[in-house]
Amino acid sequence: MARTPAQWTSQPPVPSTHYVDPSVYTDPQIFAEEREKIFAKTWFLACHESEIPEKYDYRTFRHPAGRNLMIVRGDDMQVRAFYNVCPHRGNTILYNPSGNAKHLICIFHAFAFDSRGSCVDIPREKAGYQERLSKDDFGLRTVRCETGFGGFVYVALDESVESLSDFIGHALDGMLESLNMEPLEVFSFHRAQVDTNFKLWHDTNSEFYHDYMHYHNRQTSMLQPGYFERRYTPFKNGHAEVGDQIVNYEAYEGYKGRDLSFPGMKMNQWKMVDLFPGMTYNLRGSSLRIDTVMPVSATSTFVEYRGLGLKRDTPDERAKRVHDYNSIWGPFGRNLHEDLLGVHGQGKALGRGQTYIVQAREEDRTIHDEIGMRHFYAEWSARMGRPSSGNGNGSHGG
Amino acid sequence: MAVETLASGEDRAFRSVSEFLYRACLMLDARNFKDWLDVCAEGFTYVICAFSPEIRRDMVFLDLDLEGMTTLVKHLPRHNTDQSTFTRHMTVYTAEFDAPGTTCKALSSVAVYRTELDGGTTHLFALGRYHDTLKMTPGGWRFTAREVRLETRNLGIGTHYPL
Ligand code: FES
Ligand SMILES: [Fe+2]
Repeated sequence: MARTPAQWTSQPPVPSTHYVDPSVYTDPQIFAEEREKIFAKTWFLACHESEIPEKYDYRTFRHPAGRNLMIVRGDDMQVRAFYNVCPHRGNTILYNPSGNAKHLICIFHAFAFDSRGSCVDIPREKAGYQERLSKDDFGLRTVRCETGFGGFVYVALDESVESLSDFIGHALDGMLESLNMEPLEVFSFHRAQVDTNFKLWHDTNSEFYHDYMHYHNRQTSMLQPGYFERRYTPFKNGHAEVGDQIVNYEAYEGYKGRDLSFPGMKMNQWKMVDLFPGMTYNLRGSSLRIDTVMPVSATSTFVEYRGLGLKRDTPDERAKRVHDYNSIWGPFGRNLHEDLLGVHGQGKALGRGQTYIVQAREEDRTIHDEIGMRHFYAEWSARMGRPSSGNGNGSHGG
Repeated sequence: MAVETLASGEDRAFRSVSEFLYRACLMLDARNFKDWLDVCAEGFTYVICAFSPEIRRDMVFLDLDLEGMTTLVKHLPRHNTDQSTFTRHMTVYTAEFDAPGTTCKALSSVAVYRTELDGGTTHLFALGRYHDTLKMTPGGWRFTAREVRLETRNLGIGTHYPL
């Protein structure tokens, strides 16, 4: 039966942990709070070490908390992160997304910095500042930076945040062997801008009930043995793992069986881990996909996608990984477009007049259980100091 | 006189290749993939690629042979796909022929616009170049290879369709 306006905006008859107030996906004030209470206080994946392999290599990164950063490999090969902001009058220092520079020189007044963040030259320093200010007063702003879990460079804006390994805890344990046995290398990078909230993307990665949307997944996974045995494991800090499955790629007509795997993985095995607040490790046999969200507002999000293989790949092996990756996960792949279409549709529909978002499926933590999302929003609510179900009076606006 | 004759011969050849490419472009705009596959020769390869300044590498987004393209097209109705229309604006820049004039390498610029079904808003989906290799057959020009080299890497929600 269709529902009246009052029924439409009333709380669903399930515990408040099992639904989310729609304003959580649209309210600019909530988004501003998320930047400070969540993104500025957690570790976030900025890039992969293979993107800056040589000394003096750099990579810029727009942090989801709204700071522009640069990741620089120093003359000592150590990876460091700084604000990509000139300490003089606040110009952007690096404009290119990547490059190699022994000295980082601000184009505005030519202040120069070395690869460890020290200011090493100020034009006509003594003439202008005499003894009042010196290069030491103009060092770059450091940002905490650690490399790990597959050679990924993580940054934390807040000095008081726990270590990276404490933050991730045991969430990636089931994948660590594959991530750390051999050096990895990024072979694909692209961004998708979608008019939707970043959490809706992460939700999509945190539930598999939407496999009905994917023809490829229905054929190769859902109809295959093991699918309904996949089980979620929640970890502290809002992370969750989806149990593994062996995928039958040949079940999608025209797709040949794969003959490449990953270290520590069985042939065609699939493992997936979601990290709070918006990162996903997705390992399908021959290639690893990493998603990172990059929200720009409550209703606009970039998602960055990286494809990785092994650094030691032969050209033939690399070509196979690239093909396997893109056939489903590239911008023209069979899967990714459907996931993006889903969250794009949610973005179009959300706003005033939306009913609660229901995450109430319970199936003993197996694949169509919505516990992955509920676990995320429990962490979200704790960090935000407000329940994701809203204030309980149904006043989110019918 | 001889120079003029040669020039007009080249002109005719350029024109015939351009016409072929524009007609193929109209087939893609109309999503008439059956006719489009019919003008792809045996051994045809199709690649969508781009350079990423972020990772300083060439990337291949789609890489299929004729059989792969045929299967891709066959599966399209089984997938959930954004049904916005795609319209190409294409200009053939150069066409280089081998000595007998039976094969050709053509370079075209292409802008692909997406028009939403809901409201008709049009925006630029992608900017790039077609690098085409053609051969003359009794039935006319046929594609032996197409490389779509994209400038745009932020492709929004992407697409299941070939560009
Ligand atoms: S703002 Fe950078 S040198 Fe002045
Ligand atoms: Fe999906």
